[in-house]
Amino acid sequence: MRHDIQMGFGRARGALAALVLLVGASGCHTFKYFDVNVSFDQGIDDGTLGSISRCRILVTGAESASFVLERCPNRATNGDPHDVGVFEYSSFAESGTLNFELRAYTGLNETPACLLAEGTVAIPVTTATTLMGTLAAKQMGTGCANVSPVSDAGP
Amino acid sequence: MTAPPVWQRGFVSLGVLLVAVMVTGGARAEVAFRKKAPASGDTPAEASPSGGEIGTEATPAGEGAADKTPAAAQAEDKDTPEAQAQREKARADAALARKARNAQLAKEQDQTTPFYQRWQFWAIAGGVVAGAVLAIWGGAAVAHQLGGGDVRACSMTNDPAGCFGQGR
Repeated sequence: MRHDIQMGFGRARGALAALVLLVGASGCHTFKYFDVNVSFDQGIDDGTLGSISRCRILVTGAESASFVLERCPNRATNGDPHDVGVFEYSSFAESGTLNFELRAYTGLNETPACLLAEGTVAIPVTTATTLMGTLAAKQMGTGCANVSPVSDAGP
Repeated sequence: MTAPPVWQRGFVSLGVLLVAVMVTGGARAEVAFRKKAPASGDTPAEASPSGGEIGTEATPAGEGAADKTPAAAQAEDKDTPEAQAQREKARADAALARKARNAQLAKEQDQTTPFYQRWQFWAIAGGVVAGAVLAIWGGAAVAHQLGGGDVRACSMTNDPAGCFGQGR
């Protein structure tokens, strides 16, 4: 019985050592937050901005991601459509640079022909928890809103 | 020097006689007072001697007893160092045998006791259950912390365009 108890303690020590090794090997993740203020060039008229149907953000560099901004352009009646506002991106990146690229498309397809505006910002990763950046998009084309049918605007 | 008169010698003789009678009478009275009555029936007093008889008072230890021990008994005295060593060895052997017997009995009892009636079983089982609960709860907490913990809440006021990325 004493031998069994000693074996039990030995197994418990082994499990604890394995847990410590696992924790040490995996390391701890720490969130970093990138707050990016998105806006369109004031040279783009409101009508053109109104034709934007989708704003996609591509994240490259230390991390890769892709998502669509919820409110782009700003269609609030009392707001400036050029000022989209701030989106926050959370990341576990500890070094390097995060590149945020905005692609504003007209129409239903995210094709180069439908690309209306584009802008990028590179934010280096530092020790700060919250990192700020400003992304200003400039007009790159006329979009494909006038293409009929829309599906003709293929690559 | 003249002899005392007759009446004076008579008084002296009477006094001596009285003194003798008184002494003798006192001694007898003391013997009668000390003498114990027989226990029962016609059993003589020597069957259960009492300490009241003259000459039967307890003698100091070592005086009479030593005198009464015959020389032959002293020659046959077994209280020699060898005998004493043998007795001590026998006692030690008996103690060892008793201890071994007790150990054997305890072992037999331990072997015959069902495992679920042993406190060691329940101690280990309780430890295993508690360890499992702690491992599950603590493991989940550790895994969550290893995954970065809780991502901070998204404030649509501060981040009106939305919140994206890890943990969201």
